[in-house]
Amino acid sequence: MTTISARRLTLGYQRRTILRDLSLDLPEGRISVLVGSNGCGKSTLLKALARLLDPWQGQVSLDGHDIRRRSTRAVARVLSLLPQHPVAPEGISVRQLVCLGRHPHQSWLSQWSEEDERRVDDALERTAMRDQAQRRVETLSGGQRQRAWIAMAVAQDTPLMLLDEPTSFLDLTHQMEVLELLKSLNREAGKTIVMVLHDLNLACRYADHIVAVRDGRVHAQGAPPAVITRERVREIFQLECRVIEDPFFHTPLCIPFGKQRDA
Amino acid sequence: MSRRLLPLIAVLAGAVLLSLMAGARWLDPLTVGQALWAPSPTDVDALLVRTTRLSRTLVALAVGAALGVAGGIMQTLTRNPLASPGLLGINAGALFAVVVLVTLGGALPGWLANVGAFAGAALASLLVGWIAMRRPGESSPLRLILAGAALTALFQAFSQALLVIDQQGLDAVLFWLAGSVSGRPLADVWPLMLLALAALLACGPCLRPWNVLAAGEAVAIGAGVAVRRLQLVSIVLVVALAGSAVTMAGNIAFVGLIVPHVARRVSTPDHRHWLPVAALLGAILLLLADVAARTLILPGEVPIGVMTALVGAPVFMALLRRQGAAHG
Repeated sequence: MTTISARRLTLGYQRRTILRDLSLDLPEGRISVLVGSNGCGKSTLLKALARLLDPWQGQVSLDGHDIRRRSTRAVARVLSLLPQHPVAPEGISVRQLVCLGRHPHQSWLSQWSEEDERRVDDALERTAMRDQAQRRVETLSGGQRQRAWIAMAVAQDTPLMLLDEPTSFLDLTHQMEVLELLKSLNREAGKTIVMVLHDLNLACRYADHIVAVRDGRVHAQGAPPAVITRERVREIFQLECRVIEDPFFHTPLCIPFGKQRDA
Repeated sequence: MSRRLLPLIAVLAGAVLLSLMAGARWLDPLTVGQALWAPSPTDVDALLVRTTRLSRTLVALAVGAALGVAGGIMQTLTRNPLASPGLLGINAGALFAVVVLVTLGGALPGWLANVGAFAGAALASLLVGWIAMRRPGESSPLRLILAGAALTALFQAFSQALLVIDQQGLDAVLFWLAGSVSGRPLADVWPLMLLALAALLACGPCLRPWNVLAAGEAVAIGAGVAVRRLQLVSIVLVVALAGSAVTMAGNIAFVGLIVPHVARRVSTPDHRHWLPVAALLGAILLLLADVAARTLILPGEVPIGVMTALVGAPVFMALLRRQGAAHG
């Protein structure tokens, strides 16, 4: 298994600081969800964890070692990433896309192995994309396309998966479909999943661990009922709301209030 | 893979033969064969084949393959289907260097023009790369394209200004402006051919990483590609390929733009499949364009750059219309 953590991370874009002295340990084998208002730094945090951005100060640690000290290929064998809005190369089939996930396990001389083949088949099977394997990615619906990308990350066969807003631009049905898929990857394949989500109620439903980011710092973290409370939501999102218990799933259910209305 | 390439290799062989046969004086295949393998020292035809025809055939072959592959790499690197090697400022840089040299020193020996043109191409593309990748981690394809466009315009403006001041230079640089594969003795261009060949072979280890890079920088880093290093290597390869091409044959339009598209359409999106096809198609296109260039308006010759533009522009417009339709 692999643990990922941030130690006193400070970074930003050009002269603007986004994350300030942020430290965070993410629980192994669990689903962690980063939440926060737009511009709070949650996506930046995920990018830093995925080594897409270099910290100005501090470090991201993989099993206690600085992630930048290891080759990007070695990191890719334990950590896979689904960025926001990925665009597939023109004309590529689902299967070809999923095969790209095997890249860190190959050297430029090595042939495509049976292991590679098996992992790709397995990834297509797990994501229910086997019947679509020969279709071109651009002909898929939004939900299928996202499943194809997740299949690529699954084929990478890493204990740790990072996903940046995997449900954005999907309708509710497909959001649920993607989240159910990620949950099954966590429960059945034991993968540690870290993702950014916008929908608080879905985050509460699927997260074991919620990390609320505000002004580039971790404002609160823990199990959903501990983090998503009326006061906390006001602090994190500057939003008035009431939080009740979901009558079916018993997770926190946040009901947003406008500024005008009060109950 | 080689089975897919066989028909193209056969067509290429045919185009090479045609290129050796064609011209103001048509030769039959037998004469060409004799000239190559058993030349008699007094035979004028053999001399013709072994000097001008062979050199322009080899130059067209090398330049076509180099431009096809360089364009393909640029399109993958920038994730922009309309990118071409010229975007790195390579052609404008080479032309500018030649114009400066001609203005300073008048008529140039072939080797000096070659060194100057290649140095100009390399410097221009380095400058473009340096501007586009100023801040580590913040380079983007768009920055590369914009920097390339700006520098190309700047170099062209300098070249034009110098040519207006020094009219005599115009004749000397006309070759680079219009593009031509003729009048390049092998003795002058063989180092460039070797460079292009070496760069083509050096593409081998990059083919698989390019497949991943085509899915975007973030995806590629996530899948373990050392993206910064790959981008650097790619630019060096483009400079070696397109720089040697422009030095050998001047400004040849559209080959680097069109050929990769056609290659992807007749092959698969896998670089291991379509990039070799792009090399073969580029060579075939340039050989045929050169045959047409030297036979259409006898005894004159159409510049090959004009010829490829004549063929390329309509294909390009059709391509744009198809893309426009596909996207909306």
